Amino acid sequence: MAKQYDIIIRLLMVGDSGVGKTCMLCRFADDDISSTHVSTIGIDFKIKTLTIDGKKIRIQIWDTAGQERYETITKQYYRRAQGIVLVYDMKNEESFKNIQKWMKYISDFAPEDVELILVANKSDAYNSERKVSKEHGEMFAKEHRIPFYETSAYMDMNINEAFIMLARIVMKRHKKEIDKQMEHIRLFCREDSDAHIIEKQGKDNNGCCVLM
Amino acid sequence: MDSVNSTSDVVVERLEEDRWAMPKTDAVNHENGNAGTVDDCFVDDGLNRVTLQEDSKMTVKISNDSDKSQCSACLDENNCVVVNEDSCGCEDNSCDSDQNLPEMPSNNTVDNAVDEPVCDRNVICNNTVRQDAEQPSVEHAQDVDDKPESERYEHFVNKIPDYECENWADFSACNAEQVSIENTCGSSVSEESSNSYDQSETKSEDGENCASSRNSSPEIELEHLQRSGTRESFQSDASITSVSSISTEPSSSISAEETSDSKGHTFLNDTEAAGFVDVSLHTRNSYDPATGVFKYDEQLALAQGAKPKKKGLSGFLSRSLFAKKSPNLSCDIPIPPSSPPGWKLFGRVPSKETPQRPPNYISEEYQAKGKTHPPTTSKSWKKRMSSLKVASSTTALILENRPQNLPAKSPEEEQKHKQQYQEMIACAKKKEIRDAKQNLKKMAEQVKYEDNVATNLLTWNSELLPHWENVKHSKKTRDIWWNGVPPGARGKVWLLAIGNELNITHELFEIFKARAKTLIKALSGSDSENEEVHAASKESSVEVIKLDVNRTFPQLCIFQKGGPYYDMLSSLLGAYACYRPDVGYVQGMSFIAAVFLLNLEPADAFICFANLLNKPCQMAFFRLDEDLMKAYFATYEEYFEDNLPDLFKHFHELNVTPDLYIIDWMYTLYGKSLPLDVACRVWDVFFRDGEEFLFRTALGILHEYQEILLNMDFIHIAQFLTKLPEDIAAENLFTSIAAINLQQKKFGQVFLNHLSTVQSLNNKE
Repeated sequence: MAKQYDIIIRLLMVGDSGVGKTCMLCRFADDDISSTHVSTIGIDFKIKTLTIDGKKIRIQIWDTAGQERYETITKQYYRRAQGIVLVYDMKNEESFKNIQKWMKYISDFAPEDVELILVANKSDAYNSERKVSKEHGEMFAKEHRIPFYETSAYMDMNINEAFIMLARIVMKRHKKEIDKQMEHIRLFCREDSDAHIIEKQGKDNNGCCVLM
Repeated sequence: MDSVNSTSDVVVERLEEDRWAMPKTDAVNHENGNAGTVDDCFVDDGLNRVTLQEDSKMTVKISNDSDKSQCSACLDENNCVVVNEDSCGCEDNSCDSDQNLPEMPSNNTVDNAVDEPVCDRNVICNNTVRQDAEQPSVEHAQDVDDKPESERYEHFVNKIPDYECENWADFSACNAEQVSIENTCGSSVSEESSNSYDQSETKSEDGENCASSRNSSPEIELEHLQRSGTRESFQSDASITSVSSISTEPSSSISAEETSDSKGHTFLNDTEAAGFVDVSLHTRNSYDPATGVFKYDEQLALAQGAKPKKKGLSGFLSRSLFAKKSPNLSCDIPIPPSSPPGWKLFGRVPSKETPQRPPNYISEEYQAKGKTHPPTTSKSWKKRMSSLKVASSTTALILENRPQNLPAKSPEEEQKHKQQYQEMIACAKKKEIRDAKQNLKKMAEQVKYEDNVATNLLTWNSELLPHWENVKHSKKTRDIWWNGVPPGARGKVWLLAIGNELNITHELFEIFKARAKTLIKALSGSDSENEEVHAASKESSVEVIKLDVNRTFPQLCIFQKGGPYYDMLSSLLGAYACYRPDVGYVQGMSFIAAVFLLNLEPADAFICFANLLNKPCQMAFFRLDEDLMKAYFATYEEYFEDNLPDLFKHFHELNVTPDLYIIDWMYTLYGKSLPLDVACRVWDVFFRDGEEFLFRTALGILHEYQEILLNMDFIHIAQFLTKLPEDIAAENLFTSIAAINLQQKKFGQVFLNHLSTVQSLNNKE
């Protein structure tokens, strides 16, 4: 079996219940938006393989349940993330306020070098429905020095851009390891068995380094 | 093709206009979906793809492309539409139709259009025709088997190659499987489509203006074209048409092909309402709008299943496209019987020259072949047999002679096409036989299952339930219980098996229901009336309930807002949140409550729900007690290692921890992960055996898919287990569950051991 990717990166989606995390993910990974999705219980997974800067990147995305009650469960997943997508619903002010709370969880449970982006979903909303202005979102993002996107899973706006941006900054952060991996791949002619071994090594390092 | 090119701009303009004028309905969503896929085919590296966000741009692009050169689309192995410019089109087939076309009967023609500028006419044709092409397909998809939107869309995509295949070689490029799938779907409307033809024929006989009828408008357009000779490829198109004609309404197929040389792609994006067709026709050609409306209604009624009067097809054909060919065929050049095969539009019309059998005869023959299994007397069986009957329409592709005005094929080409045709038919036949066999087998199983359920139900109702207390632990009861409680007795059995330790009465339920109602009202009535209400709402997570009820079993469409169970489910969950504010609402509960509601009256469902959640395992999870959950996971892992050591090792190496997949299963009691009927069977035995059965089921699932899981990496395992295959069969799963043995160690004891370990670890920290 030929290997289909060079690098794995792990992203996590957090945000209040109903802000559209799963929708965004379905749009990004499957280019599909079904009106009949069910609420996420615990965690869901999606994969997407992309080529960025000539490297084949397999993006694993962990989609968490939004209800605050699940915090006990979801906090365990933060540790394994390299990048986190913070999502709020621009039609729901509460979900924007709660970004603070999610930020706190991230600083408590996620690894130090985790990369973040802030996403305001449902930008297809009419102006009258909008509760959180773009400026507010931007300001918050600026404060925390993280990229900010207004997206619409429904209209497929900025979804790819947001995920790819996060993938890029994660790659930048882990440039050293990635270069090492790529060198390894070059030397060992992309043998599948190597990938396996390195993947295991990665797991030992608490899963937060770039795996191959 | 000059005239076509000269109109390209207008076409584009017109298209855009229509798109913007469109109301925002489902059709729009549909269209978005389409646009997305077509988008894929433009940037096919799949990476860093630039997304065209305005659909209209897409259309422009496609239209322009296709005007410049012949485009064709086919599906690549990823089911992605691939657009090939410059692929062979119909030009080779087309010839000047000016000279060859015979005079048409005048009683149903409209002459005023002839005076219009050439380009205008083309615009009209392109628009109307495309719309017509689209409309019946949508209807057809909906009528036939109520496919979900995505599938319907797929259906469209699947159609592309057929529409696009301008000659045999192209057609053979589309794989035969696709054709047969399409045909199977389409076959059940064949009756209707021929009926609608009769209908329009009736109209024209009555001397009415046929063009305003939606069904016949493409035909009229074609006649216009013939008269003015603006479209050279007309005849060739007609011969091609039949590829798709068998699967959709004939009229639509004509129209689709009519535009196929330049507009094959655009129709993908056009899902305008049929009304547009008429409007554009009327305004441009000054037809009588009143008649149009009338006819349209009739057409609608037709589509809704009203049976139109049946009249002979021959009269209709004498005025239509094919009739115009027939004088040619019979008078000008006699066709030898061995003439090259062509496509014929109507499966039902007996062919004159070639000794082809009518499709219904063929399908009967097939049915006879398929009768390997003796039919039972049950009604459902007969019903299903009839659905089998129509499935054999693929064999109804009828060879017809090549239209006169086309250049003859070279012998090699002819031979090749003949061979390709035969291969296709053989393939389709094979598939049909296979499908029919499978269906029969399935049906036999279903009948057997239903009989079983009926006898079981009798046993439950007459023997077990009346003496529940005495028999509930007997071996016989346990055995019959393992095989699943029949749906008719399920509610009663569950109610008895769960019991009512909490002594909840129906009155109590009403009280909490009312309390929840006032809470919801207070919440929705004011934004910040008082902090107390807000605090309470947070406690009971009322807002999350509202959100989640809509997302509970969306495929059943009964728990969603406006559905019959919406209020019941929200009030049950709200009542529970009020009854146990310390637990409140936790995501996942909605699925459990929904399954209870499907089997019990609301008050009884509440009793079951509350008592079930009061059991230690459920309480541990829904209160998110970390220690207890850890202990449960550890217990599960111990049994996992005992029962499936290889898989356990594999999971351990990949760091696949139970919390990644068990959470979902535990919180919904498999309601979300397994098909509903399978989940109910798990519940049956869960209420018999208690919490350990939930973990046994988890291991049963792993056992069932052990081979697959052993070859997967981390993310694929995680993905697989959080989204189990939809076709999981109860019997197989229960065989796997039976293979899991938790008996060597007492579940409770193992659990307590782990709990004390967890707690001592915590104390150390």
